[in-house]
Amino acid sequence: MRKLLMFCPVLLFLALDALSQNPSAVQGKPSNLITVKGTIRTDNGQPIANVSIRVKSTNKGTTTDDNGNFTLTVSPQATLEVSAINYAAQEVKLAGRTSLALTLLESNSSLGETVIIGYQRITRKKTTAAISSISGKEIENLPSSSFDQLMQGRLSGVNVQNFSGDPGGRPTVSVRGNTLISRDYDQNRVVNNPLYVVDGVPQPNEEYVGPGTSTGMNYLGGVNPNDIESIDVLKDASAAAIYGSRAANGVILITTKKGRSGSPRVFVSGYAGVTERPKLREVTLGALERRQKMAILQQELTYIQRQQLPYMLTDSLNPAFNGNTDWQGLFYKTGLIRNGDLSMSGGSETSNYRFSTGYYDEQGIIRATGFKRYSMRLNLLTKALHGRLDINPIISYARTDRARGNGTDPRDPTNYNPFSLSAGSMPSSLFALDPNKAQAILGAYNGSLDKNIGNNLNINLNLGYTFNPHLKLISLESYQYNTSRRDFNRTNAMESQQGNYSYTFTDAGIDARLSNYLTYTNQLGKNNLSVLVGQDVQYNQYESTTASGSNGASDQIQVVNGFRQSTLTANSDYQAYGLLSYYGQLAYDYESRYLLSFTARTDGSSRFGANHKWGFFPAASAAWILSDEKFLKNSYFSLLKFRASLGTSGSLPSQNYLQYNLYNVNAASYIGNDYTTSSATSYNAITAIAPNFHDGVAQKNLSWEKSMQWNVGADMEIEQGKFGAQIDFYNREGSLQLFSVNLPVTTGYDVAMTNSIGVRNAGVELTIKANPLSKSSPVKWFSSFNISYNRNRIMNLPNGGRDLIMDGDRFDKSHILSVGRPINSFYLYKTLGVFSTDADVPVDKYTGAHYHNGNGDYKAGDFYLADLDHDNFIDIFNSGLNPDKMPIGDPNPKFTGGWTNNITWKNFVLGIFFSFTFKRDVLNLYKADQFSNSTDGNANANFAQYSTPNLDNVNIWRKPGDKAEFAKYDLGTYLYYYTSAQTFFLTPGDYVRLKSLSLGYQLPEKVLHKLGVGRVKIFGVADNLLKWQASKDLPDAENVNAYGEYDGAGYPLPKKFTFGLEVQF
Amino acid sequence: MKKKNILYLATLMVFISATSCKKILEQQPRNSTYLDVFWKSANDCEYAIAGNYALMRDAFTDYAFRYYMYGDAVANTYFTIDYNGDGLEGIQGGDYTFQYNLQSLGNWTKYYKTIAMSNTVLKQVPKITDAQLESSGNVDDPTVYRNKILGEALFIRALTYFEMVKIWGDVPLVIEAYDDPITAPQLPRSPKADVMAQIEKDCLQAAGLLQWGYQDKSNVAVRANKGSVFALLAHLYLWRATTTDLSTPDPIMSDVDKASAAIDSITTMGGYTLVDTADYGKQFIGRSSESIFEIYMSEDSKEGTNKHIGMAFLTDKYVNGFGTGHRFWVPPAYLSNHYYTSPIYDPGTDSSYSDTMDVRFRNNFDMVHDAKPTCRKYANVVYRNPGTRTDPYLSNNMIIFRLSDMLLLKAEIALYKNDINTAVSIINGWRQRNGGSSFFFVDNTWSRDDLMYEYILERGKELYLEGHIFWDLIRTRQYGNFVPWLSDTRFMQGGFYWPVDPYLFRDNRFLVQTSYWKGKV
Repeated sequence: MRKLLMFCPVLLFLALDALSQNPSAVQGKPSNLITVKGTIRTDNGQPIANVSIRVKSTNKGTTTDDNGNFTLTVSPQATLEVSAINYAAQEVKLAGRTSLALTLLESNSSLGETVIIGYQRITRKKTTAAISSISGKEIENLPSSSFDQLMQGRLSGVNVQNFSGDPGGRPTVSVRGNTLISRDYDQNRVVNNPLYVVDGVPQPNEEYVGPGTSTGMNYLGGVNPNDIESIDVLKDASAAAIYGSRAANGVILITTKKGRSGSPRVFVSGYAGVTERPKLREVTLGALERRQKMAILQQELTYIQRQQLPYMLTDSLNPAFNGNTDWQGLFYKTGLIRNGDLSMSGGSETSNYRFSTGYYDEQGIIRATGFKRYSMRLNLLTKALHGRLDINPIISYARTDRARGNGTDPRDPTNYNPFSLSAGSMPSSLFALDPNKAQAILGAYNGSLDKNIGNNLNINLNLGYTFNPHLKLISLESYQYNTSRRDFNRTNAMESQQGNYSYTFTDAGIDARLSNYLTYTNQLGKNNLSVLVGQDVQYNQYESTTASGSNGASDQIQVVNGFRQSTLTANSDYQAYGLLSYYGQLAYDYESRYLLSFTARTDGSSRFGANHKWGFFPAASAAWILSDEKFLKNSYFSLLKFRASLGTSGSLPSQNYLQYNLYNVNAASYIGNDYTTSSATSYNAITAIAPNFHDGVAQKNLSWEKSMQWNVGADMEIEQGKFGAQIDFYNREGSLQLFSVNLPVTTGYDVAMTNSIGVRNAGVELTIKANPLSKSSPVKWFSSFNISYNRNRIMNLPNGGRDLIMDGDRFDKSHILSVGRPINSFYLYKTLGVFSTDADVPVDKYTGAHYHNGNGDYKAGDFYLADLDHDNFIDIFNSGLNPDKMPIGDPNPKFTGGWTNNITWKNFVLGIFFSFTFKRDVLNLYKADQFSNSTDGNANANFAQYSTPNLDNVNIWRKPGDKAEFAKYDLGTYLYYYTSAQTFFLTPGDYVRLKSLSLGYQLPEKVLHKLGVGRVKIFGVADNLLKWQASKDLPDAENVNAYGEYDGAGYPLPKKFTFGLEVQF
Repeated sequence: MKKKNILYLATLMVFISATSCKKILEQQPRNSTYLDVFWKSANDCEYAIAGNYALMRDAFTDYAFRYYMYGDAVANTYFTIDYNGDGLEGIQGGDYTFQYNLQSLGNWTKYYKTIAMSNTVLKQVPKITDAQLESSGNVDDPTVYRNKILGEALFIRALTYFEMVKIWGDVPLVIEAYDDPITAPQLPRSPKADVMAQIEKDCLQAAGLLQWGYQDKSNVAVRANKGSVFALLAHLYLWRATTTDLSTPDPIMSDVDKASAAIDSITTMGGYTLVDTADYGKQFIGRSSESIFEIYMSEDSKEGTNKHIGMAFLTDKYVNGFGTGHRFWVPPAYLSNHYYTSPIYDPGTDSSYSDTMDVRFRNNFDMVHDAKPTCRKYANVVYRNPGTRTDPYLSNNMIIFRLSDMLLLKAEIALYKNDINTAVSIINGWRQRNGGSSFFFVDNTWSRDDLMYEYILERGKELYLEGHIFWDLIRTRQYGNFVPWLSDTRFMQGGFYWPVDPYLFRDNRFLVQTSYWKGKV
């Protein structure tokens, strides 16, 4: 297969070779063409670099160099379109001239900006699709380990939640709502990722292993944010359909910076700063804790029970139990953050280059966490064959190094936090912290090794051949090679003196791709036509190896070597898939006023069986530019455009081999012998093989997941960009999403996938941009505000639409999938209050029975949970549907957005950026756990051992008659009234965050001249400076997982303060 | 025109390159074998049948070793389960409705996985050609080999259904491997008579396919042979004789006769011999001379378990690192009922007698004078980390059928036939053999009922914690003396059968709840 793939580009080269053999044929009729030289300047005579000059209705064009010069070979009657960001576009009729001196006027209009829509770049004015874009400038030099975190609040329709401050971790990113439904509670698979396309290359985002096994690195962490030229998000189907198969969740296009012609320019920039240790959560310490706990016990226990109080409360003179330790202090620290970038670019008319290299180092605020990236990128462009052939290789390499704190044990599938101090595990402050104890706790951070390295190599070769001004063939070859390695080690002391443990993981993924397409652009009278046809082929392969050994002989051995045979484990995996696609796009407009676009793509995937390999994804869109009509020609509107689109896009199942009836080798799994590192593999020493009875049915009839989306929108711009707005309404409905359905138990199989899920996301997006101050004002203020509303709803579930409770959720199953509800809705008991007295407990009027659950009657001081099924009985069992629980609350944010402000005065630039999320519910598990750490068999001891909240500040029930907010402490009542799955712990998740505040100062020209440098900028950034939130309970309303839960064990979001310098030579 | 030609050429090239890449859409798994490439050799048969046994072991031992929960724990005078929060002890009071127990012990999913594997073997193995079987070189006679594999699959299916028919009575009956499980039908429960007829049919067919004895020593007792099938048949016939009609204590005599014949085949043809009492205990480690069928669970090949039911009885005296507490314990009343640990005063001889010299008492029980005596029948502990004596596993096979069981059943059969003398001689012979006190011997003046009681005492001593005793009590109607929660009324309503986990009803509208439990779950 690989050979075949390598064969494909060879064929293409042959084709190109055939073309280049015959230069005279290629050159066409040179006598008809003239060479135009020109200079472009501002109205005060400054040359403008990077102005785009293109021949109207063709693909032919160039850009100006640093001195504003350009050269172009065109026909004498050509019309040139001249455009640049922040300048008003112009059209120039050449009329035989060979030299041009043009002046561009500054403008706030964004109409001249270009955006990428799939395989081509067009001006914003002429798009018919819903696209959000930002330029790389907006995210430059912000202290963040990857660009996806920086997209938060800056792009309408894109919801980014930076729920963890873990350096190198990844945020959740969703475009126009979430569609991912899973039968299992899995924090790593809650929100479906959009498709990322970097420089035209769709990034493979398969995850065959979880973060507990692998390095858990953000696969986008290898892209240096300072290398990014622009980010464009294709939100609606008409734009996304060109990426067909994986576009259903939106497409995010990243374009990296390219070289510019002109004398070599060198940029050096760097910043450094600190990440601040967060404010610790309030805990009660020492004598106060003892007094409060004793008071609770005195109140709640009977005289007889009080004879057996835990020693650690009663024995206040015992040095082991008279500490006042704040355990949080052990883990948090202040971190340093450093970044350095070096880039150089330059070139001549026929070739240019840009090389950049970067270093980013962020220390976490939790011990032994951090992230380092070393990156480099080379972008070369050469024009050959008299400018007809563009050769553009891009090579990038990044090495990432992530430190993971206590190194979460790869044997423990539930634990992937770098740190754990959730309410249920924070020890009482009374335990004295002696050096041994500190060593035992911090050993996981200091003594163990957890090294996570990723290497990321990309080689792209982009070839473009211009047959004539209208027709161009483009060929993109790309090869990605990603490897990662994790070495993990735990010392003998940490393994309960059972001998040390070593673990190693390596993987290698390759992704090879070839994309060929032809574009044709022409103008026939007032009709403009642009056609694109092409074909893509992709092959992706992934291999991984893990090995581990336990009960080792020496802490010195930090590799898997020298372990006893019976404690060794090793396994490796191989995954591969192929994707073949054909696509076409036709854009037509009449007088550039009435725009139409059709897109179609068909994808074939190796993941489907023979009869269902191919999926077809069509889309159409139209736009009408009203402002170009005569009746609006001279109005305030410099642009008024209406757009509409309709189309389908698809997504693929994540498993590669669904069409095969897979068998499990080493299928033996026995109770008491199913420990992951050494489970039985055989029966009577013979390898056991059986069909994969869980989900291994051959699924030859599966077909593509498809979603249908419509979008209507309008773009407007007033007074040449003084104000601008974009509004979009959309409805995206997936009806064929794959989901597992239950099979008859008697088949032996549990589940099989079918196309059975429907999810609808509908919403509105609004972006407003303004430059409210007058042009003459010395202060310039650019402001951009965007807000997105998305409503998420499950339309179909399998097995007759039955409600589903996820497997693997915590004990108090607190989420439900239910038709008509948002994905992952909370599933809770309704808290009505606290019983003030025993007389308040309801009594069944027929039987006289008190309100009760399976373990007894409710009493004064207990929470009153609503009896939803009116049987005077609360069902306390948690696995499955519960007649006393109801779906309530939505963990999916409904409103998200941001507000950017850039204020320029003389040489100062002030940036203020807010991001916000509104209408989201959060379940505060931390609060629940703080009160229910003593519900099991050893209630009093557990109560004594774990940290409790400051009860003096809490209106907790103490005696009959109290009108309390909190129920009395649950000391082994088994009434489970402090279950976390109740509305009492639901809290609003709304927040507004002053995400970044930056101030820059550019040295004046005079000084620069003296210094002999081109440009010097000094800047400071305060990241995450302030926040306002609706909830009083939550330390940080964003620091909440994608299921809308806060459990206190996550990584806090730190404040970062950096100071930097940028110099251009 | 030349230019056009080049355009055509380029376009053509692009399309050629595209079509030649079409093969990229075929990717075969390399990380797993799959149906299309499996079932091609004798080795495949070995792996598959090992898979089938493994699934059966999983079905029988899942959730607190459920085989013993059904067969022993619910007869609550034999051992006691202490409270620890999971609610398991609830079943000892005859209440099977506690949610966690219902979800685990009331759920038959794993049994159907075992059956589905047997069905798959029965469907696929006949398709393997003689040449393919011979290709691996260690198969002399392909027909004999194929029959052996098919016979074992039939036995596994029959044994699994037999467990189910004892636990739930009526159960869905599926004897085909579906080509497409996605379109397979939901099935109702079949009457227990049909299920038992199928078990009989499978056994008779398996008996024809399997041989006596073992060619390969490593398979002794842990793989089924003809003896295993007859032992299963004996139990099936006795169960069918006594539970087909719950309203009468009189068994169906034709089935009793068939059971007798099956046991006779084992004793005459099987070549099994009882383990000498001097070596008492070997039979619980496994592969003793009296083993007829057992499930392999040996640490020799890392197949032991640290959740063996035997472990729940053990303390730090037996397992390093265990505490002094043990969740499962033997009620002193059991010991005094069976071994007269509180001596019986006999006015005739003016002496007191106890039966504590019985080899089974001396070997199987410990801490007998404590409040919570324990059972050490399964205590073959192997440490996976021998250096530190940590990570303990039990290496005791799970005994399903052994010769002692068969020989004792002959006494039960004799009693059904009112053959008092045979029953007396078997019971006394058994006591004598094990060193029991002759004071407690029976004689032929005893009534049939009293002898049945004594027979059950003997089963209770011999087969303690082997998953038989509750079923013995049901067959012999002796439950009244040993299972306080099971009244005659409840028995006649089929109240000893288990309810079905409500989870299983979710997608199956044909399924009905076990009749006794309707409205109670």
